[in-house]
Amino acid sequence: MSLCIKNNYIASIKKSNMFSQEILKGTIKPLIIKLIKEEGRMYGYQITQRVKEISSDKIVITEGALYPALHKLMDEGVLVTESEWIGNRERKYYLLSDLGKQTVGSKLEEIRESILMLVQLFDLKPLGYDTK
Amino acid sequence: MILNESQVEEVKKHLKKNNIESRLVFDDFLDHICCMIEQGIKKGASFEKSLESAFNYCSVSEIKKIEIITLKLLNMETLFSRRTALLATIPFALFGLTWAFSNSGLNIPEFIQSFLFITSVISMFVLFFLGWIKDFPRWSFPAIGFSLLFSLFFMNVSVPMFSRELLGFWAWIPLLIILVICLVFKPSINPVKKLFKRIKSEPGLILFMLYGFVPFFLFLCSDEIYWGWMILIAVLSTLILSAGIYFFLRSERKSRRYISIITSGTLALITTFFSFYFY
Repeated sequence: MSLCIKNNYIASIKKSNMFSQEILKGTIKPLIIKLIKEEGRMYGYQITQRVKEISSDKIVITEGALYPALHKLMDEGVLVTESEWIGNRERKYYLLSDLGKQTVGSKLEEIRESILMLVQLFDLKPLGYDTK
Repeated sequence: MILNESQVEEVKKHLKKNNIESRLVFDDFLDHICCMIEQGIKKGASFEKSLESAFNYCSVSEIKKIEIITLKLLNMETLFSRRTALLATIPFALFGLTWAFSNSGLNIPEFIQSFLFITSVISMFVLFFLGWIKDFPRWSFPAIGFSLLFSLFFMNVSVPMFSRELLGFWAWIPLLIILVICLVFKPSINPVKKLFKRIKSEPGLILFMLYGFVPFFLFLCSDEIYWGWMILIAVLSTLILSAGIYFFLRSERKSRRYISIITSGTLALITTFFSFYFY
């Protein structure tokens, strides 16, 4: 019972600290592709930490969103893995496949255009920089 | 700080105990949880405390859910709905009916017997076809095994109505026709690739494929036996075999899945051969 309360508490903390998972849902795959493109190769935990770091803890990619997306990208042929032994365990690094390298530009352009369109639709003003 | 062998084993034990069976998800989460623990230790906590908080943050029930979602997304699911599991037993039930009517000793007109037999075979081929369209999910595996073994068996059979000679490669014609139909509806070799991928990740699935031939095998074994009790034996064996397929598709644990088909296959064989003894 106490474990259940503890888990619910943790879940509520997780929820209160991050953006809606519904909003992030559609952008998680391009986000993973972008990060891997920049870093060359990444492992799961590293991706979650990198996103937290870039967004100043505002965006938390849950494991439930990250790993299915990674495996789907592998299934689509966009990502491949290479394994490395870290002490006594195997670590899977995800990296762009040849197909992924060819399509990464168009995929990121697509998400960029979608976000710009949303900015326009919601009549949002850019934050964090001076337009003058 | 990197976890040592016994600490990694402790994490593995937790994941195994909680039935995380897919290699894909298991490896990902083993490293993920280890990273979380290492982070905790770096901040000054003990291994035990870090292990506890890592599994509190990322509970095994949540990991199990992620495993189910991932496998479903990749069309590699292991757990199916009741409806799907029941539908997968239809060809088995049809074989049971054929067997019950053909060997009951009752005067069932031959055209009804032939009709039932052909319907049973066609239902297996239909399941094969549906499997191809959906990239061969598990429920279609018995149909694959049946189609291959059925064709192989009929190579050594002659049909006096047509010729006294053995059918040989002509026995593969029905399966080839089905393959052509499959290719018309889904012109891709992706289903075959996925099939090999599935078998590679779980070679035990070959056993589930062979399971598809068991109803026909029992029917063959009862050839030339005409006995009123055969109806009961056929119904009982078919129910046992259908229960095996149902539990295979409905069980969360790999061990339970294989126990269900091994037990039901063995029970159905024992029931049938025991009845021959009485006959």
